[in-house]
Amino acid sequence: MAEENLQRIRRISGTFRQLFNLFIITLPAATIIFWLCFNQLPQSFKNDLPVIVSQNLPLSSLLLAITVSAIPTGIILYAFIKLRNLFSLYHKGVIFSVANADCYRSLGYALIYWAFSKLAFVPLISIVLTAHNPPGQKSLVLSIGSADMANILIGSIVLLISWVMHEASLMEEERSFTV
Amino acid sequence: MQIIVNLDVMLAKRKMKSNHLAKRIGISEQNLSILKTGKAKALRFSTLSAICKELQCQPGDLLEYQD
Repeated sequence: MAEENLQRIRRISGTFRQLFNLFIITLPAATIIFWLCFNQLPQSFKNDLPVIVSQNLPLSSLLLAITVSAIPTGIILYAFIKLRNLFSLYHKGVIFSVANADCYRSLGYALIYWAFSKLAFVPLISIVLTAHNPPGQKSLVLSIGSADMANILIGSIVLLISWVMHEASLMEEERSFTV
Repeated sequence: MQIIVNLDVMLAKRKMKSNHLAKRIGISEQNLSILKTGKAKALRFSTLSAICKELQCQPGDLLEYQD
């Protein structure tokens, strides 16, 4: 039964590994396409931005927006790479090793960095998107919410769990070399 | 500093093969190999006792401290 479960874990993890491989390719591409096609997109696509953009943006602003978006996107990409590595380990049948714990630690850091990256992203993107507005209509938005705090808290908890897992995997390694 | 396991020396002295010893003391050949190659991180008293009994030697004949 245990072997059957391990086979199932390996199979499902293999699917998730492929899924995250796909995300790793599509996420940066989608971000670049979003900003390059920004002027043609319907307003509903722009509702999540911190400022209202009602006019077309010049190419320089769009390129700057891609650069600024690279901050949170890069961190999400980093998390996706770590998740891909974690599922790759599970796919190989490595369930309880130091490498698994290291993946969880990286994910914990990614959650914390992501919260901080949003703190930097919102003011920067608001400057970029309103830089070509007439005087008096340029905006600098600062935002911190409960979601950011939750991300930092969850990231810290994941870090603590990864530390415990790291110690446990060392104990498991020692046990496996006890004769 | 490290502990050297002189199991292969004792096996040679007693003219006994590893797989035979593993079978006699009830551990896997893989575990005995871990012990022989010095990869072991710990050695149970029960295992040490069984090896000593089988090879008719003392723990000191099997384990050596090197600075």
